[in-house]
Amino acid sequence: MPNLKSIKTKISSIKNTRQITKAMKMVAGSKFKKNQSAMNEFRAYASAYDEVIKNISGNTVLRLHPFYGKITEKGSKSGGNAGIIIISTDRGLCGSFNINLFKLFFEESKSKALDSSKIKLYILGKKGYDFFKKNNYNIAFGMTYFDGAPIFNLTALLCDTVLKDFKNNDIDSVHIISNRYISTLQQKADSEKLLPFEMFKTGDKGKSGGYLIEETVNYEGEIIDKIFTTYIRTKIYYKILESFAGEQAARMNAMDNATRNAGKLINKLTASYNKARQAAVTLEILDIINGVNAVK
Amino acid sequence: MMLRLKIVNKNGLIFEGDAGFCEIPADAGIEGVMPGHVNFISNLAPGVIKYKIGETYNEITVSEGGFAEIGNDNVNILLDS
Repeated sequence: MPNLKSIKTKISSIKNTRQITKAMKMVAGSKFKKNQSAMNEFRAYASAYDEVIKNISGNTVLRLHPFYGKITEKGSKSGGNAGIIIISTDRGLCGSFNINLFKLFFEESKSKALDSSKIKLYILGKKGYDFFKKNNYNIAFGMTYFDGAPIFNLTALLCDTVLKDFKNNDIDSVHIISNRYISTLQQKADSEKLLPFEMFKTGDKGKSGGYLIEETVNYEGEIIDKIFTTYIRTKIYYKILESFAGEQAARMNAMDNATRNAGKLINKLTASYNKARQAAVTLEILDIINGVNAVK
Repeated sequence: MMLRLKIVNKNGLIFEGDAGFCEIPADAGIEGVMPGHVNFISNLAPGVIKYKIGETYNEITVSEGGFAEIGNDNVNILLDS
């Protein structure tokens, strides 16, 4: 017979856990709303930027820009170093949110046949940093959100590091792996190529004609450089916002599940507690009746 | 013929719609844009964006700059602030 007291302590400890997960769910919920609205506000800007880049990418002048890679000069660049930005989270307890990123990373590096020595990682978030550190990857940049800098400065720092490496030919391509926010219930790990920009195919003229680039600045590359740099920054910033919203949504779900499971467990334990108590009571009554019968 | 105008900043969409004319505080000076304007890209200086819908002029203040892209009567203005 299970010990009544041990069941009781188990129940009360699970009740405490349930309380905690419930509270965490609420906290995640309120943070989620904030992050989600930040993401939605920025979305218009990010998508307008995408459109602009798409429009102007047909311009042949722009291809001289280093962001288009230097394939023509050096021949094939495949086999070079790859830079990968990974946007993970600082805190755990958000289900498979981070694990999905790592899985995608391994899949990607396998499918591209990248050697781990040729990968340079730029990581945001403690979870990702710890994971790749443990697996002995080459981490060129690692930062947690705790470090205090506002997210936009963090993005700028990350972006500058990546672009510097790219321009110095330390890395030949930049991919970003982050969680895409699809809905509250669904976040998907996603990998996107940031650099170099896709070459415009000759047949694919699109609607873009030639662009005049205003020449107040002495060097017309300056504005293009600014636009492209800001574009990368915008893109990364948006990904971070998306990951933030997704993180809280994932945590909300995880905590909701935990709360529900705790409830189920409590029900089960309460049933077995009642059973055990009833058995004890019956036994006692039998004892008493037997005693009375013996005395008679 | 109308211009397809889109103005955004980091806090969201400010305006999207058709306009007959718009005026942009480009770095080189104020630039008027009408339908059929040559495609161009420019930085923006602080100033005022004006655009005309019907007969009324609307104004948006640019406090921190940004940039504008005009291509085939699509005007995209991205403000930094």
